[in-house]
Amino acid sequence: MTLTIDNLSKRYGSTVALDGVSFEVQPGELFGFVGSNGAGKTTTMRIALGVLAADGGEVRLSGKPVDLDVRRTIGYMPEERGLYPKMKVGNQLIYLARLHGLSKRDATAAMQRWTERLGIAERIGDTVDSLSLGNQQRVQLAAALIHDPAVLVLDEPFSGLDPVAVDVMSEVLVEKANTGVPVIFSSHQLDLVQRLCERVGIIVHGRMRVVGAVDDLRAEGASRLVVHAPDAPAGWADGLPGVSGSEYTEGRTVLTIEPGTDDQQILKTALSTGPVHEFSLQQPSLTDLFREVVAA
Amino acid sequence: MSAPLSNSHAIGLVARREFVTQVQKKSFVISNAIVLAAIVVGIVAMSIFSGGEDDRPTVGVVSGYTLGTTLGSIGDAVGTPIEVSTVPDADAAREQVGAGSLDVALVPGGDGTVTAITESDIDADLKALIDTAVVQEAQSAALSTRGVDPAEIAAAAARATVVVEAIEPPDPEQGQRIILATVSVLLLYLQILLFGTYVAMGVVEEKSSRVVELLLSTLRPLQLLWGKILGIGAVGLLQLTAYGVVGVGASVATGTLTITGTAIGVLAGTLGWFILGFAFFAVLYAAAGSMVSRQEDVNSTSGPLMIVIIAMFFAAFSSIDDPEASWSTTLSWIPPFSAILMPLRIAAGVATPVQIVGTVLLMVAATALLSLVAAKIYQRSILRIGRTVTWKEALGR
Repeated sequence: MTLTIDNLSKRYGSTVALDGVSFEVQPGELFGFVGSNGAGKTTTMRIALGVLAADGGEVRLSGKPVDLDVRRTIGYMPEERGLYPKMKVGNQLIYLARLHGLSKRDATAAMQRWTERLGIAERIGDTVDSLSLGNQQRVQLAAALIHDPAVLVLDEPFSGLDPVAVDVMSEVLVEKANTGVPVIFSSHQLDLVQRLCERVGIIVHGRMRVVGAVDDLRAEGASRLVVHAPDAPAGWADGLPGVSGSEYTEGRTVLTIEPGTDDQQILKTALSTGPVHEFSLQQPSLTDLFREVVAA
Repeated sequence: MSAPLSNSHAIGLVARREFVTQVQKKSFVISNAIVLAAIVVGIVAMSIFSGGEDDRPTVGVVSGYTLGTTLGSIGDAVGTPIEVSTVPDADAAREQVGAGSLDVALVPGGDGTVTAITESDIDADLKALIDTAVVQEAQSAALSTRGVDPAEIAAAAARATVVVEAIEPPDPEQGQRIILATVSVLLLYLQILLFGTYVAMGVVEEKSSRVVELLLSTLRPLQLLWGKILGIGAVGLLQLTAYGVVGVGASVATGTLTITGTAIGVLAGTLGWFILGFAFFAVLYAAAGSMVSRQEDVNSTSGPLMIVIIAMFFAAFSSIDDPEASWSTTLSWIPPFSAILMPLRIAAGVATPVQIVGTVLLMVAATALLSLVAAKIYQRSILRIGRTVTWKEALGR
């Protein structure tokens, strides 16, 4: 199954929320969807789930437009968390599973499996509002997973989770992706996105600015070269081909170099000034890339 | 594992949740147990206090006079039986009236006058009977002194009765029908208002807890809307049926109600009209609920509905006395007023079959039309979290 977001557009009055948003999530792929607040992540996901109607464009699953029957196969975690506060955890999950078309027996079995897996099995007889916020989040995740979804769409699944729950959540997402399910989630925790996702999309003011594999994007971005040459005079690297920026502090030099620069030439120049104790190329982090894209 | 869900299956799942959630509420179970017990106790108490035969007046006559016999036979003749006893003398009579064992004591004087001793006042009807008896006694006494046979006088008096020939005889069931109509109006009013409010509150609960977004990723808005209305409506119908069956059952068992067939008919009519009236208002209440984001704001959008329901109630209540008044007849054709005026007319026995069928059809048509508008409002407003959606925004393009 491939999830295709094709040229979505949406306006709220005179505000353009989405402007030709397109990207694809392949089977078994973890796709990170990042952007500033109000950039259009939630609107895109809501449209994918049919909760909101798009003004233009289409969402397809394996080439087929997503209708209600297809939508029932998607696991969804809305940004606005929500469950019936006075309903018991177990009954609630069974109910939601049945709305996805599961039989009563399958729904009950799935409820038991997921509450066990997420560590809330002993709370199934309690009402949701009696649970801690962290446990409510786990119930919410269970609600997204209960029907063994063919696609996962999660809006800020990591927000408000404690570190242990973050690990559990990450594990589950990777596990689902490994079974061939396309997984898309949005997050502001970019280090987490960088660690988990093969591909990311960065959305700015309703337009997709960057879509691609995390490694490619990082390789394409301006890298940083750290050189520890204690005898080198300040300004030794200025003017070398590919060097677009430099910082000199007590023998340590941090250079910003363009992609495709011959770093061996820089090393030779550094060695010509004396000993070199450290010479390391650092790829930009997703956070660096994000700042760059948003600022551009 | 997900499978397609048919429309009816989806609505059924939602309705079942609403029904089960409602009837499992502790407050629901307890309040209904109390109400049902109160109905039984109330009806039994009513039958005990009103049932006794002891409301016939007791009159004591000082011994040695025939006035007692005359009074007794006059009372029987006009259908007001009087319990007549004899007392030894005037003092004993005064004592018994004082003690309350006699309503009136009659002490004949020497010249045909009679002194009536009573606590404070004599009931006007009883006074008229006593007057008649005293006059008749005096006449017979006068006639017999002139040689007329007292038996002849008595026979003549017995023949002289008035036979009533009514052009429109009163319905002997009318008293009970009025009671049935009143109860039916009251129950419908409370039930429609209460369960309409439950629908609004249920919609707001889903909206304010944000669970609605999760639900709408698997359900169409109209499936959610109708499931909710059906589930809550079923609880309302169950509750109303329980009240009705227990109420009619207890009344028939204690003899408070003697028109069993009519009562069952009225109950069926009331239940049927509850379904129609509830459906009419439930879609509107759902729309009103979808427009707000917090429970405390529900009244701001559902207020107009409450005013209409209260107006219906007052219209029905003021037409109980005279259900055939032309304003009441006209109003009973107009939805949603028909929902409460028609069961009243059925109970009062003044609804024609044509009117019943006609008003039901009108009500169904009005509800169908309104549900389209309400569903539109609901779909438009249900995901708009935050500020209350105005009627203008909800209805406008």
